[in-house]
Amino acid sequence: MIMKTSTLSRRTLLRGMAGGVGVGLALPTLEAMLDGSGKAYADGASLPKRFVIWFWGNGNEPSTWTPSTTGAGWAPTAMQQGLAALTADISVITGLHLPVKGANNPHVEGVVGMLTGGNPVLHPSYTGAQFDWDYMDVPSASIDQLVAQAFAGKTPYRSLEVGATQPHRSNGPGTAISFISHNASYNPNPPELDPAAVFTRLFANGMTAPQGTIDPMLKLRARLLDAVKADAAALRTRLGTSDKQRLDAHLEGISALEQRIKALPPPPSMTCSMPPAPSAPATVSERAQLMGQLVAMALACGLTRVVTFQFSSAASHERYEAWPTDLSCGGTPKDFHEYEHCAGFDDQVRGVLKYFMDRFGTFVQTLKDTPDGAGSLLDNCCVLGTSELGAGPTHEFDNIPLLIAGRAGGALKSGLHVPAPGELPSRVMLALLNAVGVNASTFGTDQLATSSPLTDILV
Amino acid sequence: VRDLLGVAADAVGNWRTSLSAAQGGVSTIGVEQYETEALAVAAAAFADPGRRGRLLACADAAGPSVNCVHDFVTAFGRRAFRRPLTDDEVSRYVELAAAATADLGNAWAGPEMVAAAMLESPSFLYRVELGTDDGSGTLTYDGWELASRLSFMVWSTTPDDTLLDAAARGDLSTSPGLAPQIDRLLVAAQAADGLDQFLDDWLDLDSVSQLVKDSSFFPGFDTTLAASMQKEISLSLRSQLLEQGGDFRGVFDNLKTQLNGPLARLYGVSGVDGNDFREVALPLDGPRAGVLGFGGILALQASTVSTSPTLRGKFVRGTFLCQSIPPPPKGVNTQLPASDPKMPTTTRQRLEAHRSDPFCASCHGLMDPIGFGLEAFDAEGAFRTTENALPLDTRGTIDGVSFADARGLGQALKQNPKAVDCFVRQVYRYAQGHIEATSEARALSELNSQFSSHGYTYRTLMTSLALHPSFRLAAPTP
Repeated sequence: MIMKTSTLSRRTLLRGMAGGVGVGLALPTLEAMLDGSGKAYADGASLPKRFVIWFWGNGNEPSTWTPSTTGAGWAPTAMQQGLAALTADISVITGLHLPVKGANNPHVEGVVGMLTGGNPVLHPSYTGAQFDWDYMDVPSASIDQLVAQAFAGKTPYRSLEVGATQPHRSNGPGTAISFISHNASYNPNPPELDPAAVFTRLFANGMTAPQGTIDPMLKLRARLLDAVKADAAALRTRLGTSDKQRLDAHLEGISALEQRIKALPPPPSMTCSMPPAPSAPATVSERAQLMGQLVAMALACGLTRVVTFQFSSAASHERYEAWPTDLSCGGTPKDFHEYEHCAGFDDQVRGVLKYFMDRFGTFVQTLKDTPDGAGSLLDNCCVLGTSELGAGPTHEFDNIPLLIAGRAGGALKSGLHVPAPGELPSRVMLALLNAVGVNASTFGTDQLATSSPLTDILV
Repeated sequence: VRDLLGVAADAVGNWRTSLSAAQGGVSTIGVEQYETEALAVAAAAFADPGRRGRLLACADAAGPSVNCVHDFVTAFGRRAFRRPLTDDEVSRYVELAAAATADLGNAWAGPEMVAAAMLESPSFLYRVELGTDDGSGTLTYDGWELASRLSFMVWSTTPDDTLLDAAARGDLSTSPGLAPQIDRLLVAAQAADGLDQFLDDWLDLDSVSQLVKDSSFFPGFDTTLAASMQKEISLSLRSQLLEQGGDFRGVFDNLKTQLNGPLARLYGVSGVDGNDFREVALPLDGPRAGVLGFGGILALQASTVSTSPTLRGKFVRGTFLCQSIPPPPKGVNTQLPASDPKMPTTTRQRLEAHRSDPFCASCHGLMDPIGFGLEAFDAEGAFRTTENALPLDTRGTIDGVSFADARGLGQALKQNPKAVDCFVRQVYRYAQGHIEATSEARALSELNSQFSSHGYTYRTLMTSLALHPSFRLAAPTP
């Protein structure tokens, strides 16, 4: 991205030199930098593409999920009524089958198979006596981090992870049951669940600071991290391969932090404005909505281009506000997950499954309502909405629900119902990687690997 | 951190959570949160004139001189990195201090930034214990590494100056030099933290205070009770294993425990009120004794609404006998038949499905008959005599020994030689930080015989372990 534009204010350029630590980061989109149509930068480069995952746990009901018509103008089912106003912006892919290696916990197998295209690994300390989900993990980075790697260095935050409900707990080294985003095995990116904390992290410390002065601490913090890196480099020479990997993962985090310190907060502009400080949410819906607004602004302000939104984790035991706390099955009161296993699909369960889609619809609408250049943020987004299972009660890997919102800057067709019976979800993932401009010719490993993207959704 | 700077890091922020989920390396957000915490901790330590004066005793009213900062880098660095700093490290941190002092125009800013940087350094964050090849191809820990291993084993924290001085003198490389240090560590107050850490590994202690129960079944179960349960286990085993120093096997039938008001109410013990703990002798003819009588253990090995003899049996086998049982195979319906409100049944009766199906019985026969012995304690750990208005049957068997109830199960474990083997194994795993390989069988058997010849006390087991040659040997890292 070219920063030398004569119409930029002097202040913007000055702030690019903070503390003498040169800035190689992209600043957020300023109108002055756009061409007349608002679709591209003045030098002809297109607006940045953003990649978002919106994940919910415990699947859906295949028999009431599939829309009755295919192609454009698909008719949302009763469960998808929350998406009714957005059918031109959302594609639904149905019939996907995930042949993940099924020897252990299916929730973990599902989330790992979907988002990494690989089979879960079991930690070496697992003896068979413990709960397997506490020891299961991803074999490699999740798809959001593949995108983040490709986009690295372009934004202050490599990626942003948020959530709306408590993740399923892990009492062991495995974190795939709890978190959807991973850099590598046993190296998760846990979501922040508190909108106020996300707000403080992204906006409060930067955008309100006096703009003329440079905090000397920024320079010192960068210097401090240099000392830490020198320590690590000296230590690294003494370590074996596996310890080196751990240290390298740590170092990568330090480098990302250093880069962010050396970058500067975005100046307010027409499409990027500091959102109001969020109030404490009373319900899961409110929390999700506040998070959605913060995510939209983080994307619009160019703070990051990759977001995972973990509405609920795989195997979540959340009692959503749509769930009556005293609902019994088999003689005992149960949370949604336990109840679903006990009772199967009934109207109570369907009510919650519809509630998930309502939340997804609200999130997509928020992106659509956020301007980006002259258009909508959603136009430049690729939002993957999915879960770890098809039918939750029976842990099925058939008919895994998958939604795609946005146009990825014109690379994605949108508003289609694409039946893909028996197809690998990895084919969708590869298509999405290509749509956002990641140079990948394959996705996944072993029986989940593909080199054939699902081209039906690509322009 | 508390021991380094006199500041409890937990009081400043969520220090531990930012690094805890980090088996495979710290995540980006972890590093970011950790940086904030390290700066905040250092700032808190240096904001207090008394505390910073203790950290840099060489400073005068105008602040620390260049030489004083140099001494601080050397001394604080040795505490933080658990070894002397290299020349490169000293000059790196002295330069950082000079830059900070110049940029912020404050002589104290230098050491403050040094402290923050050292807290962020991998040399502080990771215990680097690689061993050195003595020429024979065997990797042996040096004195600094031994000091660190010893301190983390017994205290669960970083070595103090006395131990580091002993390492500097070379005392730790011989048993006569090492022994007095072990004794000193074991009687110090910090040994309680080390025991808690072992109890967390062994009994999953930290999960107890996080227990939640279904409020429609257990309206009295709250976070205070859960925290009290954890504290009972910690205090009671501390008294027994560290302070009294008796035979370890007492953990299976000890009647003495530590209770506060909320726990005493749950246990039906009168005369204990308030939130403070005190020692209580449980009734000789009561249902409850030893580790299997702890409400926290019984509640942890149960669901939010009901008991699970399977879970409890699996826990006893894994924790006290070191025997693992594979998880149920794929595709098996693990849902028990629901209880019909018109035809009430006990959990034991519903588990009959496990016994009648030979496929299930092959594994459940190893777990359920142990767990049946604990059925007189419900899912929150309270004593009961009936379930669904039906009388309870608490008879069971373990390794061919029949028992009538929880107290009988405790006696059966106390007399089972495998329980002694297993305890040695568990302490060994904790101290070494890995599951033993077959090549370590000899070390275990030697420790086992030392344990029995010293009256099965926890402290002598720790001492034998620290003095054992295996404690000095490092495994090559892949």
